[in-house]
Amino acid sequence: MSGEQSKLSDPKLASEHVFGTFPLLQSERSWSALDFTWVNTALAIATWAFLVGGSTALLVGFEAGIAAMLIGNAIGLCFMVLASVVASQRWGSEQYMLLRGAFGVVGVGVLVFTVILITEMGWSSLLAVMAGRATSQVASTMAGVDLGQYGPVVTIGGLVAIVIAWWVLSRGPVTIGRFNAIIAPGLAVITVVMMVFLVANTSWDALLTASPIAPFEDETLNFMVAVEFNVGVGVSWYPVMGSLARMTRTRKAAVWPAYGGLLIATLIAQVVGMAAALTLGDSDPTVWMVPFGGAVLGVAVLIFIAFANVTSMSSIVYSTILAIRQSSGGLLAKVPWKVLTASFFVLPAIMTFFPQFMYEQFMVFVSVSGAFLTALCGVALADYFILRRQRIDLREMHLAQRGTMYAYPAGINWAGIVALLAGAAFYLWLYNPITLETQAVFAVITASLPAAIVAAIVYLLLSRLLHRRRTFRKAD
Amino acid sequence: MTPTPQKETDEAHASAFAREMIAAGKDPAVAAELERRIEIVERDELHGASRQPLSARELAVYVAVSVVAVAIGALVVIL
Repeated sequence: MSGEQSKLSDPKLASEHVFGTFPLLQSERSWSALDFTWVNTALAIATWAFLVGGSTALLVGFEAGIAAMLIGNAIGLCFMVLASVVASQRWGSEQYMLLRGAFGVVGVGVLVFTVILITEMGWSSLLAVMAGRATSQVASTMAGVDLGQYGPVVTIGGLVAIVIAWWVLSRGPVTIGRFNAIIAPGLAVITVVMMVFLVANTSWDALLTASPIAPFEDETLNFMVAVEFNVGVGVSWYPVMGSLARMTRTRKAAVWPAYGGLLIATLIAQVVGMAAALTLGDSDPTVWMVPFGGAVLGVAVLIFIAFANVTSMSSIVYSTILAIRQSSGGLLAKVPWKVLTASFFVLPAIMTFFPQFMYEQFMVFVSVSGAFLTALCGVALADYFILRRQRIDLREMHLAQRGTMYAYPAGINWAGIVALLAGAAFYLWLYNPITLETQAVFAVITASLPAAIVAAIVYLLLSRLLHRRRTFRKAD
Repeated sequence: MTPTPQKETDEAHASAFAREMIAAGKDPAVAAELERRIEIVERDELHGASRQPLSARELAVYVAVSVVAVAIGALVVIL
């Protein structure tokens, strides 16, 4: 037993350590660059990446699709990693604690219970539906009858996946890590196998010459919407990355595996999804794996995919529940972990009854959540790098309203909240993913990057205006 | 050993922090552990490489890599 572990033999301290807000010490930060790369690979090659690739294929062909995915993910990941990974790794604290300066302790709670919770519930619902579709396909193959892509078996499979995910989650982070250690390499192998099946059953020529599935008339607009969609995918990692990065030993072990690991692994999986969508008309491997792979291999792969969705769900929900618990101002601190995790799954469970809706609204969901997350990243970057020059006071951060540096009226820093809303509104003005209306300038500057910049500028201006006498930085 | 004035100030500050946390509803053991950890982090911050701020050079390299990735994507489309 290490020194730090023995100090945490008190159950209260141990619980706070696993599910709480203690900054991690150097001796507890065990992940090397390779470890963190595997963690990111496990997340990135989750089955949602196939859907992202397939959705990109709605707008652009293969080559333009690869370009859009590369550009979009590179931009989205660039400011997502800077906004979450850098500070969390340095201070050993998760990103929501470090956002208290930008939004105030109550403001962070508001964000967590709205933007973050809705985003993560959406992704969990999608994963549950995908696990359900894999289950349905396996059952169809076994029974020799077509159970449909959105039939009742999908809902049953989705609900079973949620129950298993809840069980894994209720066991804590160690169990999640053990499952991920199996799933990550397995998914990497399966992704390669799927690409081989795709190419073997179609051809490179068919792939390179395939037309996008449902494009707009304007080619430039198609490409920019595809880029924007992938930027949204890149920033969608924000809710989980800080919590993970604090486990790494050094900054190099955090920043580059987060950026490079997610970028490369995401691109590989997305390319498979896009190739499938362009040549077969469907990106979801649950649809084409059995016809191409045969009953035995196809079913084996689908079972693995269903299981992979369960572990992905557990991973993202773990970070979210931590954030919810810490942002509730003590209200949820005494609620048992199992009850809290079960509560999270109520909405995703309801959404499994509407599997078609989840699939059809996927692009809208990613883009709208991206509008808020990019603005959130803009505020976080401006706060940490410009306003505070990377100097924060951990004691004051934990004291929050009882301290002076990060205390705000009613616990809300309106500079951060207004800046976030301004950034998101600017995004939705440039590009409305629901009505698909765009401004002319969107075709040149997209929406995410300008939205993040607007949010950052508004935040800095309002901070100077609203908090003139405040000390922003910890003294040297 | 006689404590230095700085050390005495730190201890007074740390105790005040723990008291505030307890007053805010934190368990005393948890508050004490939090205080101990923050002290260690602050010491590491002075000396440990992993606690240093991101340098301008590191930031420039990071952003440059992202720009190169975007440029490669743009080249794929243009060519």
